[in-house]
Amino acid sequence: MNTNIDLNVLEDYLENKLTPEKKLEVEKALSQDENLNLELKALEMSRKAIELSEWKKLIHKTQSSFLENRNTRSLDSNDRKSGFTWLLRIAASLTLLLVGLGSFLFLTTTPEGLQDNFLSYQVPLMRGEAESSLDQMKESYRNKDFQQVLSLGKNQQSLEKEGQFLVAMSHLEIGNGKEAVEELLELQRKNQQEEASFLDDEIDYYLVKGYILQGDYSSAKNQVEKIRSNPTHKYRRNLDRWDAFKIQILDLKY
Amino acid sequence: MKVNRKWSDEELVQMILKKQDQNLAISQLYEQHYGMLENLIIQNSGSADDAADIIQETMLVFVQMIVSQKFRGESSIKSILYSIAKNQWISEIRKRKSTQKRNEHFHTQGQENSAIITEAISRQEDYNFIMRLFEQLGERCRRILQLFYYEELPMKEICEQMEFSSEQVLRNKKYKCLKALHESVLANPSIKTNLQKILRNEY
Repeated sequence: MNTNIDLNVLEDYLENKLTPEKKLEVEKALSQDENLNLELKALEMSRKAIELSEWKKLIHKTQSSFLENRNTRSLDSNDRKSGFTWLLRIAASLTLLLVGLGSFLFLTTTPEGLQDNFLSYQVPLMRGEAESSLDQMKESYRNKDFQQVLSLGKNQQSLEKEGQFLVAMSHLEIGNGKEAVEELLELQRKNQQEEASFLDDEIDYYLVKGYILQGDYSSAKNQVEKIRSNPTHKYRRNLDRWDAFKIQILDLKY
Repeated sequence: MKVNRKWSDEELVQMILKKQDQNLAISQLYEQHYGMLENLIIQNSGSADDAADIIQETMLVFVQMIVSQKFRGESSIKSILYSIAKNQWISEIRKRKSTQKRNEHFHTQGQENSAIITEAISRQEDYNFIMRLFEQLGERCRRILQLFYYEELPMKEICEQMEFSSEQVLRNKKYKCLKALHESVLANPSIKTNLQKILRNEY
């Protein structure tokens, strides 16, 4: 190194801190001394390397932090995606289950199956009954001779309500839905006209069966709703929501 | 670190140049450009780890260009980072002697690189070498030089922070530390050759 120009002078030269005279002296030396140029360049680059060394630390730290955050964000996102995927899977499974159940119900719900749920009317047994036509009808009904009941009913010009009801029940038992519904509706009209309530609840209940036999599921559904909406109805407990749902299915199916 | 506001390219350059919130500036560069640079490397037969190494070096070259006043916003930061990373990756795959055909193809694609980027990358190799020499200095030396040249703290403050008995003692110490680094740089034949090339404008 030029004896008059040491590292401190070169630093001051780089920082433009020299007096004009000293600066001129340095520039003159630089123009003549290749080694001094080399020393100046080495100094300049060393100073910058010190600075860059700190920048490198900062960049390294920032990159580590960035990648760590990115991985965390990615994991969070995966967790959310995973949670969402599970929800979707559960929803899909439930949907599949419901579709399966719906299909099963749709395929297995038949009018015959529903009819089997209905209780058959039982004629009360009374002691010392006279041998009237009505008694004979009752006896035949008890013996499940429904054709005989119908035959006895036809032979009577003016049939009592009880006899008419037994005719309706016999029609139901042998599968004549239409005739059974006609008889029951007739009885219902008579009750309304007379403001009587003869077997009102039974008429409602067996009308449902009659409508089902007839294939009139819409009327059957309305009848079920009528029974279920009346908390004091005798047959309310015999027809639950499930029955109403099955009738709804039959209504859709046929 | 999460960057809340977005600075323009010009603002980012100024923040780095003046060392004002430089950590936020670097964070924004990562948030904005890491994905793009990573894709560049991965789509050209690199791995995520390769990308991380190349991007770190790319950021350092970019900062070097700013502090050396070689980048003043003539083109966008995005395009300059892309060019630096692309050049760095070409050099890397050449070193690895991976599929020659792919290298040649990728290399021809990279021909549009400006001389300024090639020069900055070349210069960074010299800086990296000097940085390794700097790391070989003692802890106290490194701290003095770092506080003076990077933090740009006045002598008085460094003196207090490092508990020197006087500023003159600190000046002497700083001189010795810098001289040690300077001498080790000049003592290295390859660096010396590169410096001579720089002086002859061969770079």
